[in-house]
Amino acid sequence: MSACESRTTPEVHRIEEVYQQLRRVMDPEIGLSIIKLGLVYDLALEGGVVTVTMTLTTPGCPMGGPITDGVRGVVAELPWVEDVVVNVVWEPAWSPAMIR
Amino acid sequence: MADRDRQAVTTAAPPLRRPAPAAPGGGMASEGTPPFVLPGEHFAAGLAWLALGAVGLVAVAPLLAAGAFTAPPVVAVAHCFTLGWLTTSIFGALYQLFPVVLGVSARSVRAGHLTFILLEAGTASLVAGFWWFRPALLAAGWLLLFAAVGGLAWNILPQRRRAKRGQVIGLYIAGAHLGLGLAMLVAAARIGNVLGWWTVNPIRLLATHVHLAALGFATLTAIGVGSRLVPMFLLAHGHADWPLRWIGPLVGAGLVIFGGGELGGVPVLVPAGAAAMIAGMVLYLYQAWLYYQHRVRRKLDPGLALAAAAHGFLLLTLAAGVALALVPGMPPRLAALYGVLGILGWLTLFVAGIYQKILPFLTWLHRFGPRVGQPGLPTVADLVVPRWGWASLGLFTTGTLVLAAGVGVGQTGATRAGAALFAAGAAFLVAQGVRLRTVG
Repeated sequence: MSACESRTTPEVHRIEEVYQQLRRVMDPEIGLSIIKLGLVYDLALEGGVVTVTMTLTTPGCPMGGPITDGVRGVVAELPWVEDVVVNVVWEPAWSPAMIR
Repeated sequence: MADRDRQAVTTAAPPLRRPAPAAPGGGMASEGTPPFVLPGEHFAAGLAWLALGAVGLVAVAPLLAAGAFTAPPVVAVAHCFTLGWLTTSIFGALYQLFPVVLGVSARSVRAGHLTFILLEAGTASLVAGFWWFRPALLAAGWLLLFAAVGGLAWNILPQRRRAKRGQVIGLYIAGAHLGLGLAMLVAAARIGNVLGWWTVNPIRLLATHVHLAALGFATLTAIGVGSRLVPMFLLAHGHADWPLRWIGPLVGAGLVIFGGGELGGVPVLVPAGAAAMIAGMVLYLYQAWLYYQHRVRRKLDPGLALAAAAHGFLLLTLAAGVALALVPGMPPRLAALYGVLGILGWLTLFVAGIYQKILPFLTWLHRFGPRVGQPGLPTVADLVVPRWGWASLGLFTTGTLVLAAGVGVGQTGATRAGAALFAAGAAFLVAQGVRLRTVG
């Protein structure tokens, strides 16, 4: 992940913590975690604020609400997190080639 | 990132230290979707009408095999499917999907419950009126249905103007409701005929009514709403959607020309209107082929396979329609076959396929959406019994084919066997729906 490049060790550690949390968020239609599916494009930290840039498998997916709520919920469980911002983007469009 | 940012939808929560309790239905609720009970009551009633219609189909099989498509019991069963199953399902789906697709919600949930009661009471009255042939019940049913359709139109259609997305789908839904309103006016003219208030050629009225209702309302709604649902469930990306800009106008113009020709007694207009409608539907089949061609999910589940089979039946419906237009004198069994293929093969199977997708999907959202991220959650697929889905697909498609063949050759035994297989397919779908109520 580019987000992990040129960061200090504590930041890398925190980014890894966020990724671990996000592995718990499953796409209930497909049955894989959003990390495994490659739906998370970028993570950014600014103090205690975590910004998650992600997509969904298809535009207008009604699961979008619960999934983004779930992302906010699991990231907010980390003790150092003060705020979570979720950006849902459609470019680049998700494809199965992004599954890890 | 710049391109991404321009298209980004940011969903920021207030600063929080612990997971915020989510509303039932998760993010769906925050987007203005109604309580689950509103679409839920529609879908439950829709399944009940499907079951009743399927049983009725077995009962009227001899009439269908004889081509008696205007016999009151046949018309009663047809309305179990068109009003009870299809229209109830469409109303429920619109309440659920309008906020998701267009970003605007219905004006009033209470009015939604009221229109549901009016729709069910009106349908029951109309079906009973046809089955036992009581013109007073027909008139009462029409009035209740008029109130139900007017109520739904008041509740959701004006909201379309505030929509920030899904304008094309909104246009399809609005156009479809215009088709339904016109179909009801033509039906009123037919009921006036029955009550002896006036005399209008009943076959011309019926032809116009059937096309306005099945094509103008149900099919245009299926195309519009399906343009979001089908690619979403198929995980289809990158397909062209230019046909959608032409299908609605072609079908709409075709209906106006066809109806004008039939009701105005201008025979030359009828084939011209039919040609426009057929062109629109061929274009739609191309659009649907694009959805399936560009799907990421290569292996179809029972719901998406049933929707695909429904498109095959739509092709057969078009062939029967062309034959009906070319063969002089409208042979009764051919007309009955056209109705069977269109109402059962295309519309019923398409909606049944969507049910197999949307019912577990909405149940999951309602029961588990607020718990995303917690361990041990089932997937959507875990909520259904796949064998029942495949059984439903096989029985529905085989039943419709046997039924259509029986009607085509005028063979009562085959028609009844096909109806029984179709009813068994409906039973598996209903069982799946009942089972979902106990999940979680």
